[in-house]
Amino acid sequence: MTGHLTTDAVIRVAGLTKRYGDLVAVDDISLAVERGEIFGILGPNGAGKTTTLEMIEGLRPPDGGTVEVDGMPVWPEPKNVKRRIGVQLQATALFDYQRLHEVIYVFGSCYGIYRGREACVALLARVGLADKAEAFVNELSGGQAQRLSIALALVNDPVVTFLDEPTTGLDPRARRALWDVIGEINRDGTTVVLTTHYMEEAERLCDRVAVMDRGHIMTLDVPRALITQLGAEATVRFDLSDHVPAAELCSLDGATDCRTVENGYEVVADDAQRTVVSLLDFAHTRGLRVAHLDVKGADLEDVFLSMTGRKLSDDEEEAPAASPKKRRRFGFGGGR
Amino acid sequence: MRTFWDFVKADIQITVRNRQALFWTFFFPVLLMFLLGVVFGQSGSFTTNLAIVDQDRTPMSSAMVSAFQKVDALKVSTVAGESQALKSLRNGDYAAVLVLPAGLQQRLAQGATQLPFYYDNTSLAQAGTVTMVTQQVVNAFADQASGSQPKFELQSQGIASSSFNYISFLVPGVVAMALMTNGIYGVSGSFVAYRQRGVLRRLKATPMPLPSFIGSRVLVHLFLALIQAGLVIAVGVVAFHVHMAPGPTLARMAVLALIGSGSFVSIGFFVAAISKNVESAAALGQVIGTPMMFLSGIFFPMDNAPAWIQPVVKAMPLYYLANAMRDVMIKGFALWAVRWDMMILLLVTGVFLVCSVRFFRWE
Repeated sequence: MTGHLTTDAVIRVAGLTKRYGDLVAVDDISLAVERGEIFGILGPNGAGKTTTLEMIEGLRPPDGGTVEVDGMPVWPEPKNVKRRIGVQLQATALFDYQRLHEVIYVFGSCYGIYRGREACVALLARVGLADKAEAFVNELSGGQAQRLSIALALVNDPVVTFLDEPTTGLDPRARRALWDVIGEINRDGTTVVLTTHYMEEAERLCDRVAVMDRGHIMTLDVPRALITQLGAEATVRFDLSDHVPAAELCSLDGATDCRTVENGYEVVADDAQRTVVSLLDFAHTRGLRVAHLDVKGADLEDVFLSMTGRKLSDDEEEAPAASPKKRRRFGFGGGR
Repeated sequence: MRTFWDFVKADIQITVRNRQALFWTFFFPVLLMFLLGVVFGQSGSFTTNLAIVDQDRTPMSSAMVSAFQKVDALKVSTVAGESQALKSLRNGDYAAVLVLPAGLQQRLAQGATQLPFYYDNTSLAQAGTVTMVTQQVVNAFADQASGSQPKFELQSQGIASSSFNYISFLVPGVVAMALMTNGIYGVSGSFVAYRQRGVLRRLKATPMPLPSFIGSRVLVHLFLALIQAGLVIAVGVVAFHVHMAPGPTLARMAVLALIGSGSFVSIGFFVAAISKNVESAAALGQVIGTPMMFLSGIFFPMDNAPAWIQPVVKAMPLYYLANAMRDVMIKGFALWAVRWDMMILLLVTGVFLVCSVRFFRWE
């Protein structure tokens, strides 16, 4: 645990525990979220992410431990904290037959904030839905519905907003669009706490990430630090215009292993950059063309794997496009 | 408070914009009323009872009575006193009372004479028939007696009886049933759907107190109940000539509609509270609603039902609402006269509200 905890924490969680019968869903976790950051809780389904969030949001009473939001204890009476936080729940469901600006108004009204139509549209504009202000809730696409529910999480101008798996079930393009929205909300000064089981999301979006599994926080740090801590290796994949014995490739700089795979070769490297430069040299001197060059760096998936011995994406058969591996593509070869 | 009204407004918007649901909410009881009215509206008046008060007691008046007795459409009884006959008319024993005043012969000789004729105006169709038949018999008799133009004239006067024909029995019952159906199914269905879809949970994440939300829904529901009751009554009155008792009947019906609807809404909340999903809420609603519909004397009076089933009948909240509505709408009872029915309905409301709160779940 090398999270750099400062004094300006907007959320402080200590010893938080939740049991369902014999199952300990959240087991004595402690963390602090700094003001102004995007804090991610990464873990597979059933890790306890949502339960943790709900205890912080005042939706589910904990069995042990304390939660403070903006200096106020959440329990036993979460009402004051509810006024200061924005919440997006996993299942987005609203009233059908309401126009978007009406939904914004009604939810604002729950907080005693009575917006005019203009102000409602302005809030919709923050999530890129200004042109949908007159549309009905049931006419929205999945991505638009998620953006609306994020707008609702901003309806009371919260100090911190909680997004529970905001991009689950979205296609990759809608997911990236939503990252931009979340990033902008954060730049506007709102602290964001989000859960996700997409490591790419955590890596791209979050300032700090807590990796959670089976009710425990396995590790908590800046995503890059988590990855470099692993000292993990990268895999360089490519094809050559003519056949070369795989063993020859092991002589490339930085290569620790090499093998022939379907449609080409794979070289495991402890320093991908040196290996790639050396590969290009090698091809040049032999008069070979390199095609489909692909470098897969270590990512949070590998962090999770090394922490738990399990894959993060084991349970993602419901979303086939779910965890696109992080790849750095080079400008030539066979980029898709 | 403003938030409460915002939710009332939103709920009305949602209700009005959901055209299909709105259509069925209002159209179904009206359709049912029409069908029942068309199928059963004519029954119950196959024989028309006519009372004749013979104050003349001459051969002529006796001949007139026997002329009436020959008419198949009428069942004639002779009654000694006019006041006694009118009392029976008010009780619904007769469709009409014809008085043959003393000195009929002399009056006829002097020219046209008027015969006091009272009819039960709670059933316009029956009143029309009995008036027409009586007029015909009297005219024919006058023709025979004097050989001249009809001299008798019916001096008609309508009197409201406390009895009612089948359709007047049916209308208040259908009003009560519509309130029951909508109260139980409407509330439980939408509430469970909101819970299942996580709307309740999302609202719980706001500082708004849940009672505001529930209260606004109940208010809108009661408002819809009034419209619904009004529509069914309107169909009964306009299409089937159901006679409404004079006095502030509509206002009394409105009070009963609110109290009755309140008790069914709280049953609906109870169903919602203990049901896991929309399907089980619908099933439980049926289990509660269907026996209630048939055992509360909506379609036929339960007085004639076997004795063993009477305790079951008396356990149905709908029975009390239908009874009270019948008493108020047709018989013209004041609310005070149906206070026990109202008390029972309020008690039902209270019990089920407490149970709903006890078993309530956010998710």
